[in-house]
Amino acid sequence: MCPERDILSAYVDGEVPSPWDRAIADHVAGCESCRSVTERLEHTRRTLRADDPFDWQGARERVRLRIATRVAAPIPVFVRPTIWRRQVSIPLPVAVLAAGLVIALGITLATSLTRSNFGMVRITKAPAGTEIQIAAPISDLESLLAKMGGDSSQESVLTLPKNVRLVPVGEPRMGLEGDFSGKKP
Amino acid sequence: MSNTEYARPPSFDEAYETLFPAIYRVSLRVTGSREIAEELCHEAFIKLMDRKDLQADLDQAKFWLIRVVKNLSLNYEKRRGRERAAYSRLTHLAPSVAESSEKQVMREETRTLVQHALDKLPYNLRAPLVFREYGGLSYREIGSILHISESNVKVRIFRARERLEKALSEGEEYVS
Repeated sequence: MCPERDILSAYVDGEVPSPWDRAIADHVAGCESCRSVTERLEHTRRTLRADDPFDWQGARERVRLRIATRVAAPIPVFVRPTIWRRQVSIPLPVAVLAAGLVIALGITLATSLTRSNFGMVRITKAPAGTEIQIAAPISDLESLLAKMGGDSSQESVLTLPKNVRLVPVGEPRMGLEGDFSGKKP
Repeated sequence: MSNTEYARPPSFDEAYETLFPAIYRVSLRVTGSREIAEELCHEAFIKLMDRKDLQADLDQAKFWLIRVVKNLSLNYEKRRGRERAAYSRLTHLAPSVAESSEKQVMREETRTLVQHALDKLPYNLRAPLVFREYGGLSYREIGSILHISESNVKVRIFRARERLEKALSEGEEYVS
């Protein structure tokens, strides 16, 4: 009885264990059909092995170079912190509430910043004694004086922020302008 | 450039020198692309650098490298499968465009008759045959890499050879 053809294929590979391989060899020697099968299998193997990639030496050198340069200068790998990849699900009402809170906080902060007198000139009007804060930077003297001189009948006291360092440059313009706008002749 | 800049143990160079031909052949035959084969070899040998324990034992190293190549090639195979699916959709929609891109592919990769026949085999038949013929692995080793039994390896290799024989004889007829 002829062995299965997949056994003959394993036999060609030398993968049939010891007592059986001799039995198959004896059988193949005397069986025309099995000999033809093993010859065809051998032929396929030879065809496969004869087909050698012609430029494996070139590939070897290219890959060697890539490995060498990579080892000489390892490519830094950026590892993204896992926390940003985590998806957090928030119920819609909570999300809306949170967004509202952020907006409200933002508005409050922005208003308080505008109102603060940091770097601004304070002007006190004489009769009422009320303090008006003019949102004009100290560097912008023109607009400052224009606002002061709006109501010429009243005296104005100008308070500069404490941390301002004035450097005298050119004509004493401030005095001139103050005299002009504060006490109009 | 001096060797001290990328100090490697001499055993790595030895392993590279000895094993590259086999690993490259396996990579090339499984993927069918020279470019991808080089990529796979690069990845596999880079991984081997960290395995000092394997570098001295060349047989172990070869088995280990082919296992790495198998994992990498399987990823490539999956991607190619998706591309093939997209390609066939494209062929269905616009035959003229598909034809020209196919010709382009043929020009880029001048495949041998053997490679063409191997490409036609499904991965589960191609991989064991390639590991056997070009990697020289035993049925037991192939079974361990592919997570299948030895008798399954035997059957797959036989089927691969049968199909290959048919494809090669058809190809020879076509050429002559």
